[in-house]
Amino acid sequence: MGRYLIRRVLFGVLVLFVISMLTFLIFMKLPAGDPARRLAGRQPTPEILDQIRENYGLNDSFLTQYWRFARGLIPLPGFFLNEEIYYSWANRQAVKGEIAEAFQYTAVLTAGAVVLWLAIGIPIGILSALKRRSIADRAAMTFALVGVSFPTFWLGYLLIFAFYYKLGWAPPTGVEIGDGPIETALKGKYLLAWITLAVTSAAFYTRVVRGNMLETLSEDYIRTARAKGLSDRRVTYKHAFRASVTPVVTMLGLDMAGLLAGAVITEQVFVLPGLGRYAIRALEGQDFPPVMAVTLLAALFIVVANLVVDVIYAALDPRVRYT
Amino acid sequence: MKRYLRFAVVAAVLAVVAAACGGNTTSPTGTGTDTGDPTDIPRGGTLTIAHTQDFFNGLDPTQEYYSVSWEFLRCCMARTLLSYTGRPADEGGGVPQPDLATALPTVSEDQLTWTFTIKPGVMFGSPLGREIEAQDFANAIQRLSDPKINSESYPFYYTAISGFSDAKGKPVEGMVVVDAKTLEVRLDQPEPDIPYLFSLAASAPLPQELLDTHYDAVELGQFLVSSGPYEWEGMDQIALSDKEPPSGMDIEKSYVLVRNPFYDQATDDLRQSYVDRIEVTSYAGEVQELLDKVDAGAIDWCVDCLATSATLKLYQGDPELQQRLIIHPSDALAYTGLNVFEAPFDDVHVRKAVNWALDKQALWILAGGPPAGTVAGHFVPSGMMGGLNVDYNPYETPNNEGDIEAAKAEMALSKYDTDGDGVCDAEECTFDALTVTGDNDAIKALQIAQESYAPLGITLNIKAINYNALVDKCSTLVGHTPYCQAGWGKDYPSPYTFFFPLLDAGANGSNYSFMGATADDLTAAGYSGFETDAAGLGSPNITADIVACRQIAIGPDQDACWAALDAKVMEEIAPLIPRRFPNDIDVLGARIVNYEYDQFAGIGAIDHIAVSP
Repeated sequence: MGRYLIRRVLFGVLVLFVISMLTFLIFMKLPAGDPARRLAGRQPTPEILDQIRENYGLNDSFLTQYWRFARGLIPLPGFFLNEEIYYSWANRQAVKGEIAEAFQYTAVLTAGAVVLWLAIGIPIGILSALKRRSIADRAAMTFALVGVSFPTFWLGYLLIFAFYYKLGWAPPTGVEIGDGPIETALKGKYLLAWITLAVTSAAFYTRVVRGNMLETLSEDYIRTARAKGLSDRRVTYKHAFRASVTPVVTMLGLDMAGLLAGAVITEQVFVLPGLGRYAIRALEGQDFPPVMAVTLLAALFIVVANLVVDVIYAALDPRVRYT
Repeated sequence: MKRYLRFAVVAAVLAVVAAACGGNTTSPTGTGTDTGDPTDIPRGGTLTIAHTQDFFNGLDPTQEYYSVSWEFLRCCMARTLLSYTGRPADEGGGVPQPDLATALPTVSEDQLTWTFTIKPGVMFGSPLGREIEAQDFANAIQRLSDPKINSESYPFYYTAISGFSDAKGKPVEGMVVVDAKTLEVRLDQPEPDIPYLFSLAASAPLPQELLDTHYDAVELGQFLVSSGPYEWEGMDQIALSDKEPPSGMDIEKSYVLVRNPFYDQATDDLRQSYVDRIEVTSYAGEVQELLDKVDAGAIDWCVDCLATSATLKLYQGDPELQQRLIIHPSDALAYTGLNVFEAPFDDVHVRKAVNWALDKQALWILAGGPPAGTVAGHFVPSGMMGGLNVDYNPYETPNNEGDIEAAKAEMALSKYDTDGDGVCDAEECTFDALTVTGDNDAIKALQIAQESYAPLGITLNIKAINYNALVDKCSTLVGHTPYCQAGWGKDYPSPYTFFFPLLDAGANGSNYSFMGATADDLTAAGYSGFETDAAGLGSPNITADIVACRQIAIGPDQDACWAALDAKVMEEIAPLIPRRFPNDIDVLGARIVNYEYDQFAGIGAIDHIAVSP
């Protein structure tokens, strides 16, 4: 297991390196417009543009520029997202601080959505598996089909229209002046966003749990357990559920990592100042340091999540062993 | 969002299609009264302001190049040698007045030395509390010369000052501190706009104590030592050597201004400073929500919210609410730039033909009708030329709907109409017309243009692209883009800030006509067959005309020169199609009992706003 972990970590570093290089390449070599022009005032003379390129090192060689940013990704004090390089070109604020602040809003969004979709998806999936071909099963599958079919942005706006504009039950979108993520959540401003994210994921998890449960329930050891006289309840929840939830753990880890990197569409729809919205703003402004930082952060979440779920998988399923 | 983008948005995306807008007055209305007797107007209280677009550079006066930022600096934190009264142009709001100077500057006979005398007894705010001196102004220009600081700013206006271009952050030899209260500005060549230039925020005094501790871009703004009636809350609790900004300065989130304890109203004839406290918050949400908050009294004013159709309908339909809706002509222009070196607009007859043909009425209605402004018949807003040319429209057509016969007559004279039937025969008359992805109103505007030009044989391939790519394509010679929709607003109240950036600055990035480009630049960008004048500039250009107008002292004679040049541009060259002179629209909260429109900044004058107790 130790050797396996070391290999996985090294591979993860390689993945992050490739992503950083690709991000840099895309931004610097395939930009939609001249970054220097974006940084200039409203009369960008050739002299001013030249000066901006000088100020931001945009005239340096590709590798020199890349290494300048890559150094800031080394996870050591003094290097990681250092303020000399990783500051927003738009407002000169340290990217580290801005990401830390935005991450809080994304974390609350993710946590709430995860709780909701697990609370919905797993029970419905179990019920559907146990009551196969019943009305409950068909209703659950309809929910699953409809849920995964909803585009997130469409569902979000639909919920806002229904519950805010028409019914007046939900508060307006956006964060109140002076509120942090917790205050925002307590004012109910996350609720529709949680539902938006949860519906799609819950639908998907319903199908996965149902499928796994059905497969597990048909296993020989389940039949043996029943033959031994164990109750249905014990068979279902102690034996079948544990085996069928293992893939869910894998999915959950990756889904959470993906959301923590910024639920871009949901944050845009509900005007939540999380990582996704921060990334969009940076992209629109061709503000490279935040773009690089958020992209690598997102990649890091996925890489780490992959590793963690693999370890958990081995813990849950004794048949799985890594060498 | 950059200022010119803001005005392009005003020009093209004022989303007002309410029936209630039709036919209503566009004359400015006021709220409460500025009775002329300031004692009638309540003093004190807190003014709450929200904005959707934050200050670009943390209110760093050297760097800010944004009208809202300029207003906050003018009203509150950065007095300058000369400044503005915060009133409309017809009340003198467009003429710089002595502020930190005792009087307007004297100028030598050769026009190369301007002398300012600094008012005694005017103090910097917390934590310094010392008298402002001539050296502090020299510091400001020195910092403006620093290429590490000025890249987002407007240093090009100050290049006439001796040594400015070479200083690069070192002392500027042309800024001569004669004594503590006397400043000489020495020039290499005459610069008639010196009064305007020393009313801009970049010329506001900067104490050396601040430069020694917080010199860097944006950082300085966070610790700005005020020279105005207000300062950041908490400035009296910090030392300039501190690393943490004062409590009232939370960049990109909220800003709180409180009264500067060292400010003396007796030294200031320009500002009223009614409120005790100003709270400003950045808000990233729906504009309608902010306007709803204004309506509900939760905030007093959204300084950069474009009034939505719903809000306009509500306010214009209610006599009481109408008092809180301020519609005022701004010094801005929505226009279409024509690249005079790119086919088919390298032919003046084609340029004139599209001026005749365009249905400006439809564009005006698309923009929202009367509240959105007036149809433009010429280039420079008349208010900037002393009211001249107000009715001037050399391409006037019935109901501004375009005159296709006149357009065809003009097209028939063009080299691209080989048979003289008024319809372009050449493939050059089919070209790309670019706009920003997602800007539906801009796309509709291009569709209106397409319908207008179709009888002339001109076809627009409408393409929506990323904003940054659009700017690149439109503002660089190598983009070879013949037709670009744009908007513009003044930098200071001189027509020079229209003529130069838009029609004379070559490839400076805001000049979509590329007039003023050198022959070498044009050739390098792949243009050929153009004429060149004796100065090596591509022809047509108005460089000499601009120089001639600037040699006339500011006043009616100069206004007349600009007006004549305005006419020449429209009638002889036609490098653009003026579409609309936009209005500024402010929606005020019920607590506001006094308001004035600051013609200089193009928004409400914050120092003139009073709130009910």
